[in-house]
Amino acid sequence: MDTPVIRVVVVDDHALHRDGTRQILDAYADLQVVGDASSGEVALAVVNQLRPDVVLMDIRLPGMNGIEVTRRLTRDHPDVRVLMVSAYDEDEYVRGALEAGAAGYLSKTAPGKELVQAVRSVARGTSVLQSGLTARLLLSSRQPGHGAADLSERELAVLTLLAEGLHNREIAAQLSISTRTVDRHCDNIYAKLGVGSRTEAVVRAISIRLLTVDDGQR
Amino acid sequence: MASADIATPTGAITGRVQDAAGRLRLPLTVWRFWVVQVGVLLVAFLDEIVLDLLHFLPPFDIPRSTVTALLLIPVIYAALNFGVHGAVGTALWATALMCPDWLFIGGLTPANAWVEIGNLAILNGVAIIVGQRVESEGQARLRAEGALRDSEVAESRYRALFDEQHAPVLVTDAAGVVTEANTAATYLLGPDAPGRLLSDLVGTPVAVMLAGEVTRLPVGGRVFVPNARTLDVGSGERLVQIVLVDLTEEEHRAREQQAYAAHLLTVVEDERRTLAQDLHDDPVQTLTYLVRMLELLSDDPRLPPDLAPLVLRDGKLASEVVDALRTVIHGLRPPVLDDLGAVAALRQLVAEVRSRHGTVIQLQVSGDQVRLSDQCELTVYRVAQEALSNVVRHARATQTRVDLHFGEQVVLTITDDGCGIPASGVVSAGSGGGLGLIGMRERVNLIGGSLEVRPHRPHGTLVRATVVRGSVEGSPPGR
Repeated sequence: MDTPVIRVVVVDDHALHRDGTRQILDAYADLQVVGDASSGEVALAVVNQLRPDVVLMDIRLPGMNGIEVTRRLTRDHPDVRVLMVSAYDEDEYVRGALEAGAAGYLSKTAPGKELVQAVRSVARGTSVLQSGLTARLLLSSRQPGHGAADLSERELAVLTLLAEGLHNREIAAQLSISTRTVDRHCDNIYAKLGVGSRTEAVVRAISIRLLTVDDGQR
Repeated sequence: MASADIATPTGAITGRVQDAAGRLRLPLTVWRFWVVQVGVLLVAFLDEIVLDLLHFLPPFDIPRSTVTALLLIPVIYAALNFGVHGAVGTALWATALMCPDWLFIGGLTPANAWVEIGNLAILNGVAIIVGQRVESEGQARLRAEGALRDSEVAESRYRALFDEQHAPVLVTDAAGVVTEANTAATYLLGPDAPGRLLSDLVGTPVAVMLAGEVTRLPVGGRVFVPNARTLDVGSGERLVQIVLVDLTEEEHRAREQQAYAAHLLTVVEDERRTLAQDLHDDPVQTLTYLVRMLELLSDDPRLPPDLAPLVLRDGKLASEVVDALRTVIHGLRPPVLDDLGAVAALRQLVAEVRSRHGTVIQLQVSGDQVRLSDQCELTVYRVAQEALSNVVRHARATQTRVDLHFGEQVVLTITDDGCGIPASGVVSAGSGGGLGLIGMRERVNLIGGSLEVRPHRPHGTLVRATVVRGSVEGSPPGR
């Protein structure tokens, strides 16, 4: 199969990480690091010039932080996918990154293979959250009718519970409906959001502000 | 020897007379007393020698009582001048001189004798009554003079206090017109202060000062606190005394202390920021790189299979050190605060406290969320951190609320329904809570805000920091 090469730009203010990431990705034939940047400002220029498929973005950068850079990148280049790679995994960073339009969030300590998989996934247009992050994020639905996708009230309810990391059977129990109905709702949600998995559904819902990360009243 | 024999009885008599005089407390040292006695002697001489012995008779008849009447003159004179003792002494002397008259001069009928005795009794009676009266009046006069002297001493002492008092002291009448000003007050307000209205001099009417509502009174480049009280003067008139206690030095010291505390706070926070940044820049980055590289190495087919698990284990170890360092960095200064702002940092803080202590906390953010200045965001975060830590440690609350409102000012309010802060907790340096509150106040004051700590009804505590939004820097918040 003649897979097109995924062109990657690495944004990190530490040379060690830029080189390490390049070393990992360049070992795969379908991945190519075409450029890197050590600050947000440089990143904007580099992306503008190279038009990569995927940008690996650190959060803590000198000057403009990675989340702000992501906001500008996804606004100016909707076709460029940003994958956050950070040494920190605080919920607030994940939430900020997703709301800024990032397609995924990965820890800097994640294994190389996971990084490669994540780059491929976001390049395909799907979203990635490091395992364990989704369940920890506590989300709530926005007012119906706000988002681009026209979800019904019941679908929104299902989506909210999905975001909380509940399985279909648990969702069914909570909403007092059958598992089969939940499955049907999920299919509708995926179709309306144009995604293929529950993680993607949640990430997409956040990025189009259908869901916001809640202030966490438990 | 002979002279001694003669001298001895004479001395004894003199001694007895002196004893008697001593008992009578006669004013023997006063020459006028002797003049009076000579007067008495003259009258007696006139009566006994001239009238009785020489039978010198004037061309008119002299009644016997005239002699007694004449004797009243020296006796009353003695009473007026020497009091009861002088008067009685004189009367006794007169009595003694008159005795030979009726003992040796003939022609004394019983009727005459009784008249004579009556006369002498009157003489002695007058001596006692007038003498006593004069003496009691004299003592009263002495007492009055003493009291006057005492009051003069007191007055001059008060004067001295009033004038030498370092604090300016003013006395005004009920209408607020200055009637007196001590040296310090004259120096402060000018020599024409007496006679002018107090409110014209210091800008505050006397009634307001009496009500104790003035806690800070700037006059002539210095700061005072007026200590006013009403003086009731005997005539029903009411005066007000105002002591101006100088607070200038105290305020200056307080400002210096505050500046020092602010400096310390700034230094500590700068240190924490630098330390957190250094830990992030070097150790964390290098270690995360190591984790990834060790993981990569463990997967390398060229690695002998028995070494792979060891490499993997060391990678995990490095990963754990990264986690520990992240916790340290977060404790020093949460990176979220600098990267995403106060709202995100508060959300994180609330989530942490909630999961660590199981406390029920609601976070409500309202108004137009914007990024604030670094100092402002740090202050909001630290105040919330301290307040929540107090809630967790002391309050035993079931419900806690954190409200952050962005308006003209940024208002952070933390309320709980716990047991409240004991009144002493606010100032007691012994308890951590007290120091925490002082620290919060210092932080808020440092950026020109205000901190309010009060009971929250029906029970619990309210902590509210109000800071001026002022310098809004950077981008909108990360959302």
